[in-house]
Amino acid sequence: MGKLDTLKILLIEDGEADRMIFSNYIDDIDSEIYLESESTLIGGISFLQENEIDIVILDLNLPDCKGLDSLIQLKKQFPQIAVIVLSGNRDILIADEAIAIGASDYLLKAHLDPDRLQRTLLYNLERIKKDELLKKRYKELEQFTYIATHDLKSPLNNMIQLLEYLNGDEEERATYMEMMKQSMDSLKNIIASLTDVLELKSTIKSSPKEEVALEDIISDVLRDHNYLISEQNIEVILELEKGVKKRYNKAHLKSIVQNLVSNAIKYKGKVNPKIILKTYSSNADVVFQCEDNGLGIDLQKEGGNIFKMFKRFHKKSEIEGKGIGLSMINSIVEENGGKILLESEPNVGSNFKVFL
Amino acid sequence: MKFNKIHILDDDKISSMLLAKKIESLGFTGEIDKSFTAAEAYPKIKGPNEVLFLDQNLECCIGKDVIDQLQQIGIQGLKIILISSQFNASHEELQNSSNNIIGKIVKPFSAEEIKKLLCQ
Repeated sequence: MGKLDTLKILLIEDGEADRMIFSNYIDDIDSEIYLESESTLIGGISFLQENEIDIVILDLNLPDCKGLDSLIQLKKQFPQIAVIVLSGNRDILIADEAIAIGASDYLLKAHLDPDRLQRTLLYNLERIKKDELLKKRYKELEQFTYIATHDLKSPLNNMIQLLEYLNGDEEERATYMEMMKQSMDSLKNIIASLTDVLELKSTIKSSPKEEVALEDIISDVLRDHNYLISEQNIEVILELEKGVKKRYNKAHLKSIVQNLVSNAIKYKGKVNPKIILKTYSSNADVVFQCEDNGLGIDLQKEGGNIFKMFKRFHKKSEIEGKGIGLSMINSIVEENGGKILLESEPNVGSNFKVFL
Repeated sequence: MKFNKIHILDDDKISSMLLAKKIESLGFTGEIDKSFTAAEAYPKIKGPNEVLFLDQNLECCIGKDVIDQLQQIGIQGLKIILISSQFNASHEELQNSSNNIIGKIVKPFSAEEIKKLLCQ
């Protein structure tokens, strides 16, 4: 049987003997499981309001709430938490209704043993992960759809309106035709960007991977940007741990380094611009860090938007760019099981830490 | 129309020009000022007898940020019309949050809708 990752379980059960039996079964499972318990529904709800829990095991016969009402109340307040009902009631209709209300499973106390418990927890954990992935994908689809419809509408709306003015004299017509062309170019660019994003998202998981030395990638990227770096007198400091490698798609890894270095150059500091690139291993992670003393980002205002598509933090008139780089590299990193952390302050600089 | 000056704040220069043309076609003879960034707009806005057509998705901020900033600056009496290619529930909420926001218009602009809002 597979091993469970670290798991936090809340048992809501008023029977002391049942709590002890359950606790013993948990101890018999060869995994890191943190078990908390409450003997009332109110106690369980209070606990959940203050603590993060992966799975709730719920008895249906609590002193402050009988039957499926306790399940209904829990799912209403905490729809995202998996609830497994643990009951002495063999009635299959009750079991069906519990699942319909949103219980992840229905276990009979009389049939419970460590093996069955472990299997149930394992399967439910897998289902939770799949549900979360599905929700994430749905949210991405929503965001993509909103951006696609909103951003595509802008140039289209302009074109519709410009058509009204094409009956004017030749000079006017030429002006409006030029604007039509600009709007069409804008439309074309947005479609191209959206296509890039879709293509990337659909190929990340299946892309071939190999052992890649980060030092080599950084070297390539710096070579590509050498002209800009020297022209703009940017000091580049390298703090690269020797021999740091990661199993990754080489092009994707280069894309991550390239985007961050390119942004650091674009949004460089006005005085003594500096970029610090670091690589190191931290526990099981390989980390690439890109720090600059440039324009920075107001995270209080923009924190939730950092990795949104077409999100820009500085004027296009000041700095060119479509605003999809961070979104794309975040997709790459997340699909590979990593994360990007950002510290940033306006006019102080930014520090991107990529856990690959 | 009761306004002396109309401000348009939209980072889309073509859209801004088209809106200005539509307003002129309605016979508005006052000043129409176009800004493409919030920073550019703030010093030009005085408030009384003025209306601001405010795009909801500016390059570096959203419409709500501009409204909050105008409040902080202390601009009084300015009427605001929200403009966007696409409105959602948050815009509805924004519109209901202030009596100074007198309406919203979806792009492409309709002369009748603009007239209705400017003449109310």
